Amino acid sequence: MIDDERRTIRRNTTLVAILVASIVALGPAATHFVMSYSHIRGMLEAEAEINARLVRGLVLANPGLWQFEEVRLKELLQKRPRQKTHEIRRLYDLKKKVVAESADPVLPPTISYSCDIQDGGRTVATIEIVRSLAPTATTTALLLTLGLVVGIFSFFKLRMAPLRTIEAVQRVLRESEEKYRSVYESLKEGLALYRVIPGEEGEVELILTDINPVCETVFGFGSRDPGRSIDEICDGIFAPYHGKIASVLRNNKDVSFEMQHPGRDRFFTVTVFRAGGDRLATLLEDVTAEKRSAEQLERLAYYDSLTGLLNRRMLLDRLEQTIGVAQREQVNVAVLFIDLDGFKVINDTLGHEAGDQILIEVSERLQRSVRKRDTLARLGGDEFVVVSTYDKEQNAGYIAKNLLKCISGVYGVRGREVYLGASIGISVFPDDGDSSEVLLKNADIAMYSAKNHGGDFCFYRAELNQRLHQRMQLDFDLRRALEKDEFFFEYQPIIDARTGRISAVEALIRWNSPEKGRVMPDVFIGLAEETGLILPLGEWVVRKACAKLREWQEAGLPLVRMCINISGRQFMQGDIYNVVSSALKENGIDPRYLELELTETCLIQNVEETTKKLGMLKELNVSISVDDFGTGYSSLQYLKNFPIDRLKIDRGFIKNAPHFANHRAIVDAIIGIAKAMDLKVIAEGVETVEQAEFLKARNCDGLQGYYFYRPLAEEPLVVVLCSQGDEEAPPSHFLATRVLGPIENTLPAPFSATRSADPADKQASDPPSVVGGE
Amino acid sequence: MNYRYRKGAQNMHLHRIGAAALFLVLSLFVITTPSHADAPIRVNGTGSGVVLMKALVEAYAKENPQAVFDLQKSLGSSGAIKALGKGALDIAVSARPLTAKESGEGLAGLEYGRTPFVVITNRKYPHLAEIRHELLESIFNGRMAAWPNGPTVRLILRPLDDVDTKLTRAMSPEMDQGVTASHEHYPIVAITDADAFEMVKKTPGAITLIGLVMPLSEPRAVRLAKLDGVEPTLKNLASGKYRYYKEIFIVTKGQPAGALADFLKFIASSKGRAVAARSGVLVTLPAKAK
Repeated sequence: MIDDERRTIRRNTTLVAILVASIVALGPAATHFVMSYSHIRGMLEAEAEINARLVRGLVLANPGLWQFEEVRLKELLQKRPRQKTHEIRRLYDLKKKVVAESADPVLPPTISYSCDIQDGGRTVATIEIVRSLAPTATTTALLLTLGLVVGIFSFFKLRMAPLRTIEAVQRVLRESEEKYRSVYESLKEGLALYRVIPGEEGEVELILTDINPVCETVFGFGSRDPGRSIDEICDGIFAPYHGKIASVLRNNKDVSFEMQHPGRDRFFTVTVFRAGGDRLATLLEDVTAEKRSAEQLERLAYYDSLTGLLNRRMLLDRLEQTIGVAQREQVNVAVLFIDLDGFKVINDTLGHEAGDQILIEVSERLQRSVRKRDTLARLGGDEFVVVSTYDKEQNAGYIAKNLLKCISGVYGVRGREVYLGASIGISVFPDDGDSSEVLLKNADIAMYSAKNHGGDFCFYRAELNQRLHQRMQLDFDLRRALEKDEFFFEYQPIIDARTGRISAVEALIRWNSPEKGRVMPDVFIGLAEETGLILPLGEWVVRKACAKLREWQEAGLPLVRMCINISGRQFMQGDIYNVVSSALKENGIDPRYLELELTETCLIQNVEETTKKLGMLKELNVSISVDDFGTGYSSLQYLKNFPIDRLKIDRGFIKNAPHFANHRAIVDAIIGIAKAMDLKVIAEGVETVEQAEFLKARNCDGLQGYYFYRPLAEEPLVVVLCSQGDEEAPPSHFLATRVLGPIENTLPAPFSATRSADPADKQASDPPSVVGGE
Repeated sequence: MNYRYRKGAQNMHLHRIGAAALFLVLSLFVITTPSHADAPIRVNGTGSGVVLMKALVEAYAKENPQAVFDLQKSLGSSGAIKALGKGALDIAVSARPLTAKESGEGLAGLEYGRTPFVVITNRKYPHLAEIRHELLESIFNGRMAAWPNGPTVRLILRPLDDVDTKLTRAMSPEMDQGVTASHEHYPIVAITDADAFEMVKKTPGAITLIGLVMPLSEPRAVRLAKLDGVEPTLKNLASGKYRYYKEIFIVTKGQPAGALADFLKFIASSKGRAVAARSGVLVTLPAKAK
């Protein structure tokens, strides 16, 4: 079609160009020739008439002999309007003989004009004037030549310029079409064009004229669909929307709607717009993925991705609804905040996947346990919430007991069986709050109370909230204390069972609070672990211990090992290697004098990671001991694999060892294994002479406990160390002559007074809990 | 063809002898030319010649009342010779001798006489009694456009091929140039000397050169000017004082007979000579020719 139009334009343009070129080429020459010819002919006519009159005058004056008046005739004929114009003027008699003439050289071609001379109505002669057309012809030829040049030029210009313009326009159009065609065909959306055919009574028929590839691949259009009615294509899925699509023509406004492809389970939006002229276009956009994503987002927004339970946001929403229902129906609403007991250990020791498996199992158990009208949600971690309505005669405790019964028990994970319990905090509407946020918060507080009391469930009380505030205040105070360097050490010596001399001291952290005075670690270590403050606090302990060693070294004190407790969280999450390494380097002390005490639980959390970290620490040449040995997993495997120097037997075994055979057997076994593995053994919590003698008899390497020393402030410790340094040989019967006596005399009164009553005693005899031990 | 002007009376005398011999030959021709007794004698020629012939015819008619003449408007020398050749005339009065071609056509011609070639002006303007040839040259060369007393100089020229033009050119090289120059400036051209005389007569400020016969035919019609102080009279012409003149030839065809022969005898007679002299023609035809 375009080619036909191009040929038509080319033909018409050529015709016009020929016409114009011909006019340009021939026009000036022809005009000049015609005008010149007319002018010359007019001149000749005039001259012939004038000469004829003159000659007629001569004839009339001398009718008989006029033809012999040669001179006069010649003179008449010689008269020229312009002398330079060459002419031939001849006077003929009736016999066509020349009577007189005036002849200039005249080049052919010539133009002539004759006029009769009459005498009394009778022709007596004829005068003829001839003039050359050569100048006119020459000028005409020049004009023709010039005109031809200009004409040819005009022809090509006229013919080529429009064609070039048309070709340029066509090229631009073609490029544009190709560009839009490529866009059209590369669209991710389906684009279908329809031709509108008006029907009867204002109805229109839409005939599909073109589709892009996406229409076929995604929307199921067929290659034979063009030419068919919109109501017929794609199994008629557009037929129900015919009116809506056609409304674009009436309203002249784009229409957009969403529809589902029934055969393909896909959703797409259809945008209908005018495509110019009598055309409509539908833009089909596959929004299935978006729709799925939206659903997914909704699920993510309102549901817990792991368990599929409601999340916190949805819980609050449902809780609000439930509160509304409770207000109308005069029923109570119980919010049961569930936190799993022992989950953290499972998660830490068996890994997150195992933890997730446990959580899924718990959620399933809970789902089976709650009623359909109840709301079950997971807030995150191991926290679940059940919202339940109940009559006022009923008790929420009953619901909590059911839940505990359902949750608590043995779970199988990774081929192992683990036990889980739960703590449940209960808040009740309307007694404990009238909003979802308050009820949830109070249930959370009650849950903490329950957990602190060893599990089970606990109803919210106002004082629980107060206690929570106290914890928050404590957390704030601890952070401030760290900034203001309010922590300090007390040191509990460890006695070499063989020599009776102090072989090491265990640094025990204390907090000198401006408001509360001296605060023991059991008050704040747990909270520090929960809040993460244990990491900077643990680093402070490492750096402070090293600094003290350097201080003592510089003071010339006899050096002993400094044992510090490393929190499990600090060991696993903190950068323990760099902290220890930099502290040693900064203070320039011998690494052998620093001993890191780690608990079994800490070591066993991630064996691979522990092996790696312990290896690195050992490269620093520091000592590593296992604290509270016997209370955890007591795995012989890790004893073999880990680079451990000492085992510290938990004081629980020491306490009863003299009295119970099984405890003695455990202690014997621990000492035996340690000896077999070339490890040193230190007994904690040695409080009596019997215990000390028993341990010494079992070749226990080190003894630590109140029997020998309570935790000492730095000053008395220095005295003890100095006094010990003065003695050349150890006391031969150090068990009978406790060194405590002389030392006690040196202690300041306040220090001695606090030893028996202060909870720090317990702490001092329980080193792992000082800085993170459990 | 030689149109040189004869200077002095001695030269004229020598030629007079030759002319008489030629007139005898012409007479022989005339005698043998048959003539119808009732037919008019048709005479035409140069304007001066026609005027001369008119006077001669009138004189002859007094003595021969039966004689009939036909004198039309002047055809000029060439026209009259042509008409004579065609048999339309019996006598042609020419201001030039015959050409060889014309002679070959059976024509015969003799110099009859000479009339002074004079300067005439309009009677009213200018009041010119004498003219110097320098002034004449200035007029012809266009250097003088108006007369000293005001009127425009209107030079009446003759056709370039006319005998009078040739005589004018021959007066001096400057006059030759002047004739060419004046013709290029479209001056007033009179075809015959009769026309020229009429134009001078009617046109104020007009001036031309013409045979003396014309102004004498109409005394006081124009002013006759002395040229370089010499009055154009037959006496001065005969004496050679006046150097410029125009020849007049009588041309016939065949053998004149009857009245024509008789008329030719009359014009060659002393009576005819006297009439010619009165008309301003110094007859050069030898006396023996009578």
